[in-house]
Amino acid sequence: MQITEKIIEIVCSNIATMSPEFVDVDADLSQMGMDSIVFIKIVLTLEGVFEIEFPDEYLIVSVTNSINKMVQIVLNEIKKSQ
Amino acid sequence: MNSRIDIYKHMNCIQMNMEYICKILNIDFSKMFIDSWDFYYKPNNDFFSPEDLLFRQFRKLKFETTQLRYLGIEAQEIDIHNLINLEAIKQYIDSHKALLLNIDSFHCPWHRGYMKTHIDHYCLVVGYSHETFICIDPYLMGNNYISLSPSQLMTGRELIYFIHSNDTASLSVNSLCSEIISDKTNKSQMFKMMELLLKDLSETTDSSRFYDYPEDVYLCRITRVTKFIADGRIQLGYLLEKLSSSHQDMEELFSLYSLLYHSGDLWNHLNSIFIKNYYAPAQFRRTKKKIIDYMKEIIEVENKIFCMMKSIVT
Repeated sequence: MQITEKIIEIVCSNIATMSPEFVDVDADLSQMGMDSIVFIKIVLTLEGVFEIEFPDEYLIVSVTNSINKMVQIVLNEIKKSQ
Repeated sequence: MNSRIDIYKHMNCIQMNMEYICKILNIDFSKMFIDSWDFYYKPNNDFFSPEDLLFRQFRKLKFETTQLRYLGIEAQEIDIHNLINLEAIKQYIDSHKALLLNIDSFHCPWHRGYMKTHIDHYCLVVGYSHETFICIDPYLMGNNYISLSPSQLMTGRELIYFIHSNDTASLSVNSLCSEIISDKTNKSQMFKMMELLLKDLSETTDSSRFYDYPEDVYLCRITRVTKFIADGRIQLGYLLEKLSSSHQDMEELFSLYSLLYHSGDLWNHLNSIFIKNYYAPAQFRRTKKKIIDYMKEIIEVENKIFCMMKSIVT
């Protein structure tokens, strides 16, 4: 499974109002119900699935508020670890 | 001036309700952020306990008048427990459109803390039918209507309506900064309390101590307080940014509100770290170092903010 699809799946399983079939990867997730607690749950799942550590500077909702931003962070961290 | 900040994402339940009331009264709600720069830690013991972090701003509207004075409104309390005839409440709703209800989360059926814990919550009573009162809770997404029976309504702590006041204080950057750094707000004490919190956090060895409601991180005081403080910094930055167009030294003000936004981000980082630690407590040693580093940076930034405000006033 591609990284983007996996992240969409993780995000949708944590935000009740979202469905993988109708996802805008640039949409502001905080408008769709992602508060700081849901965000951290997503971060922890991403860290576990992709075996990365989310950098501190991206660890707030206002900075990492879309699927696309999450994809970029995950790709960067995977690259760093290789 | 359009701020980059979406302020609605940074308002607590009482502020969301006050924004609704200000709309009814045709008032600019942002002035209520005048008292947002707050921090209160009251150490009774020689170690950190979440109970020592207080929400001083909650329940302020009735007891303190700074925000109301600048908004130009007055709060009038309706005695919710001695009303023999509930018709009187209906008349208040007819006259004022929305009454602010302070309710304990323990008795608030749609609150996450319902029947679990005691958190101050606010909603609006906006209508009634034959047997029930209609409430809205702007803090919840969707603004759905909620019905409360008269007995549920009476579990509320306070019921307040607001009217225009004849005594409105005008707000400028100078009056705002003077108000904040005045002796009565004890902001200089704030830094001593922050140093104490830093010391207590440094000495904490057991991370479970942070979570006073271990079943649900949403209800833990450390989660709510750090978010509340972060939002307060952003609110004050937002208010200063709004006032900046009429200030003579816009560059100075830009630095000030940018620092407040930065402080809000730092508190939000701290909030994220506490939440992350809740789900991954095994990493506490590393997490603790991050908490301490963020606290040190926050103290430094907020000292700068205080000095800048002082220099604006003098």
